[in-house]
Amino acid sequence: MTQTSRVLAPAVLAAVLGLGSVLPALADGMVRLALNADIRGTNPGVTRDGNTDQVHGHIIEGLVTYGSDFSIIPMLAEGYEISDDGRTYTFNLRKGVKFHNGAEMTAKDVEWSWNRLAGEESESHCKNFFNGQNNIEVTSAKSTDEHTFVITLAEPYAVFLATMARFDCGSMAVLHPDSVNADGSWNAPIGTGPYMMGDHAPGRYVELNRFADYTSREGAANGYGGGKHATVDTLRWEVVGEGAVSKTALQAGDLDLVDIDAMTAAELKDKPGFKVDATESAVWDTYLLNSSDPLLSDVQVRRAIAHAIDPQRIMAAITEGFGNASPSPVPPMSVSYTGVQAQYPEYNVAKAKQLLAEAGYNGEEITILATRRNGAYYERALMAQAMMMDAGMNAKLKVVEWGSQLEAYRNGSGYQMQSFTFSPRLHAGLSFEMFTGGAQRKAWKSPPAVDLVNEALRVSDPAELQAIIDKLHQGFMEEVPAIGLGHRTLFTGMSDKVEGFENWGAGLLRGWMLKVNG
Amino acid sequence: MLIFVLKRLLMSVPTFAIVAVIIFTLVRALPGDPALMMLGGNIDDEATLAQMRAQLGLDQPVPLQFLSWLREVFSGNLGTSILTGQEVSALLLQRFSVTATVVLLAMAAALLVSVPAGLLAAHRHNSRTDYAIVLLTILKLSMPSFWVGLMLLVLFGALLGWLPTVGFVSLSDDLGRGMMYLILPVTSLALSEIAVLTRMMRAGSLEVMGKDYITHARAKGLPERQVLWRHVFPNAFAPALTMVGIMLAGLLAGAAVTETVFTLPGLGKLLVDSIYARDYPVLQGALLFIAAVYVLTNLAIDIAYSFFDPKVRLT
Repeated sequence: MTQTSRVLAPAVLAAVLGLGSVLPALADGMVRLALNADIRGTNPGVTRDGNTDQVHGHIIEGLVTYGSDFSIIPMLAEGYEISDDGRTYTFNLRKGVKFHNGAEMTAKDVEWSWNRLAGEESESHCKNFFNGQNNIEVTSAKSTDEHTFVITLAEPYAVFLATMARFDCGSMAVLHPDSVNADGSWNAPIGTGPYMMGDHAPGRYVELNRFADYTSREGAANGYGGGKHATVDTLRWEVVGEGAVSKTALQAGDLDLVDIDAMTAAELKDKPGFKVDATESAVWDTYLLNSSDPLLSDVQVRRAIAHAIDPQRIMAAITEGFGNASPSPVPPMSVSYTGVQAQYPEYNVAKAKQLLAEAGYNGEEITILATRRNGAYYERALMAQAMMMDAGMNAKLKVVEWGSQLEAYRNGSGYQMQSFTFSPRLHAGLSFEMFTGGAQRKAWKSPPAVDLVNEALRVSDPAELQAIIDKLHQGFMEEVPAIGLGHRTLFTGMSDKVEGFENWGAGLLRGWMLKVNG
Repeated sequence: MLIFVLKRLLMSVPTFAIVAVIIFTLVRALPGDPALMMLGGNIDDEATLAQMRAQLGLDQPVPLQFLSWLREVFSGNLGTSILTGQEVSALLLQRFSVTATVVLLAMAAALLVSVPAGLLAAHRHNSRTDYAIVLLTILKLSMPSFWVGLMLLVLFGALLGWLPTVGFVSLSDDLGRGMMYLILPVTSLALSEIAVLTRMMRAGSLEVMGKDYITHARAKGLPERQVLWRHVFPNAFAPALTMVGIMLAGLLAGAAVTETVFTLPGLGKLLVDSIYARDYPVLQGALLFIAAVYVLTNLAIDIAYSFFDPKVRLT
């Protein structure tokens, strides 16, 4: 389809219908993207989900954020100092940072924003990360002068900054107080990010407009921070529920950049006019094993399952050959990923059979819970079932709706094994914490492992942390509370007119890096 | 007629009461905790979960939740979406207007095509025209709506580039652009309706054509066109009208597949999304609204009968 016919054909059709010229011309400097569901709202850290965080992340910023290697880097803070006792964090704010309403950011705004999310009256779930219910207890968060903000903790905690940088809390977004109405109700986000809230038609699209007075940090982009030199005037996310439709829209030129699946990536990668990006993320695809189940409480059986499943074959199959197995919960792009994390029980069917025989396995049913949700939960379960049957296990599939699976996961009951996925955890301690602990949902409840995880979240010395993470990995291989497959490859299809796109481990779009070519 | 309408509306009150109980019970019986869904599952501390449940009004005993919902419904308040915070009644009306536009246009297009096609097939019974019409309707009926929708997108959007593949513009905002965005979804929906209605119309016409009064009309020397439109059409259309009513109510209740494929922000898509998100207020409100759509559509069809069949009296 040539550009001429794309313009002429609708005009002819419209003329026939007596409608005049009706299709919108692609605005210069607009990139059109797809969201699989509408944003939940405009209140960062409050009305949120994964889709919404991605849009909010262009509007708001926090004092710190994650770099490409998941280290914590300053964003709105020029820098920060940690007291010797590890309890006091002093943030020196960047000067001259402007909000979208033109006002300059001060420490008072930071204090107001902190209380909005972490204060007692907060409606945000984020407050529970800082009020002592989840290890971190902030005893004071105050501005001490116009450009200094100080946070004091009851006890030192190594992942405090990482918790501040959480994407689901908008990195504890700094907003202008005019973001709320006089009665305290939410109005609209007035942030400091490179994009401002534009038009939002619920159920249809959301637009962000470039903030011309954005004060960027110097240098190149680094993870979710660094320099943000936005050039695209408008980012427009269309709400498109079906992957097949967004793929068609990309091919039709109605969308410029969309998340695609492995099969579409393989189809588009050599097609003229399109580009495909495949990036390994920190999203961990895994099988959780329920150690409370009478059969799976036997570690020999769990080890047998680990030896029966070949992560490399499964990852290759679900990514059309783009992805590799990386069974450790610590993602390969993490600074904590070493040769130790690369080790894993080898795929060995004979060993699996031997372990089953030693465990006295007698053909008892092993049910794998899965859902047909996007993310190959079902396909992964299906392949695991085939491999387990090959090793002599009586593996069955139970396919349920996502809500039911989530409930089984949360309760830690109603399943023996389940095909599951964890969203990115950008600290190695948190990579283990996501499935280790005493809570019902945690698959690894072994007390020594729980102690190690707690220690990993408290130590700040990198060498000490690495030693703990290595120990955790050894324990993970021995006790097999879960079977890791790999870190999900994220596929993005785009028009060849879009330049500057780079995905990263956290998988969040960075629209400020995009450029429109021609 | 006014008495008939009032009587029917009064009769629908107990229907709504029963429907309300069923809706509330079924929605609460769905597995999955809305608070957990909102938080994404990875929540260990009960305080966060309890805070979210309280925010969603799920911390009350279920009977109290039901009574409170019923009280609000009777006062015309369907609550607010736990997903987006929007008012449910405004959301339903907004989404219904999109669905109604597409469905009514599709139904009008379908009737314009299927009535003459059905009459023609019956008139030329066992001819090549009849076989062609029957074959085409069977072909369409055997194609899944989702696939047909996607193929229309691929053909007219991706390959020919004539029509937009994503997005929606309201007709009230911009009639011209709005029409361009509606062509494919209306066509997709109309094709399914044409297939069913043509077959209904053909069968009805064949039956009527065998009646004595048609023979009599022909014997009087009436032109065939008059026989078909004055005598065959009204009598053959009455049974098809029942199907129109059922289809119309079903589609107005949400053409979820069409809305998903063509990214239309309609009632069906809203319903599906609210099921996945366990958005109880929207789900309950939407189901109640759909029940009302069924009642009112059937009432409208019953009234329409009296225009086509003189034997029908509205009492």
